[in-house]
Amino acid sequence: MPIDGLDPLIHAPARLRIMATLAALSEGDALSFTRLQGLIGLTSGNLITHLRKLEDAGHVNVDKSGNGAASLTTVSLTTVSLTTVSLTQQGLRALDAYTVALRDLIEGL
Amino acid sequence: MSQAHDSSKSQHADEGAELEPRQAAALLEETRLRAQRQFDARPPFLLLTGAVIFLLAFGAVWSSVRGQDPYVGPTGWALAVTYGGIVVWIVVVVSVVRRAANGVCGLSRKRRADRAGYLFIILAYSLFQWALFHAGASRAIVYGIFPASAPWHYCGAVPFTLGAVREEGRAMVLGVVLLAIGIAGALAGPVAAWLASGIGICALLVVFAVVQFVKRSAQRWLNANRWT
Repeated sequence: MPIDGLDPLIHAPARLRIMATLAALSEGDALSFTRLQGLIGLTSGNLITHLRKLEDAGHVNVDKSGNGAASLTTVSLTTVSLTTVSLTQQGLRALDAYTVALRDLIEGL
Repeated sequence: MSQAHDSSKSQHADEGAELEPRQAAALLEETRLRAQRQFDARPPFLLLTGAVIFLLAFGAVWSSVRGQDPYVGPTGWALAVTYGGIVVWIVVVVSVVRRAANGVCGLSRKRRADRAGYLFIILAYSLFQWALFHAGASRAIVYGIFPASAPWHYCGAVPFTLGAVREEGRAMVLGVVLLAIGIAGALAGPVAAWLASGIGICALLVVFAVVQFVKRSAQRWLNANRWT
């Protein structure tokens, strides 16, 4: 159930952890799919699903250095190891806004 | 197939999960803190370890040359302690940096590649020491002032130049401090140069460790008070 004022896209445990982890990177850095998966502890499929949602919203940038359609349809070890993920400026602003909204909500409890 | 299966599992595991605001805040801070620790290539313990190793290494050489008249140079055991200590520290630094940088690409990785320049410095430094020996410079220069102070001139030039190009004040300050340690060592003479370098590098690393510790503590304090 959505909570008023909180971005429902970020207010989900897995996506919140993805956003918080990527926000800890230095500016201009990206994280490999495999390291992100190791840090978050999700299966490849789960992580891809959440990343797609965040990417569609413009919060993260997923860069695939694999070639061709195969890299888009197949989740092979080679493909995921060539995929990097980073937070966009929009994503960073969305996380900041989420943090502020969450703090206001907690203060009001 | 497995991807589709995982995806449906994700929908159930995450979308339907009730996340109370306080739970969300705790999860956010825990994840943020954990990630910061994972990506930290300069933890305070590493810097403090380096401070102790450099003080002991250069102190060992100073102890071996103290009272020499005329100056002969460091003894074999002192050089073994020095180089052994420095090699151990380099191995520890490389393993910590590799762990932190694993899977990280972008600007940070490009900047870490600059550090390969230090290998060139070691080569240039060794060749210059050989040239001094070949030119007939005294043992006090070849085995005292030069090896105790010249490395810091070289090492200071790298961060200062990169800092100047990138307009990064902290790198420039680091370069100036390293240069000052090198000059102080050179002025101190062949015996005291070792002690001056050891104390200088130790103090520099301790200051860095304290700065890192204070920054971490401040971050923790901010995180703890963000939700109150």
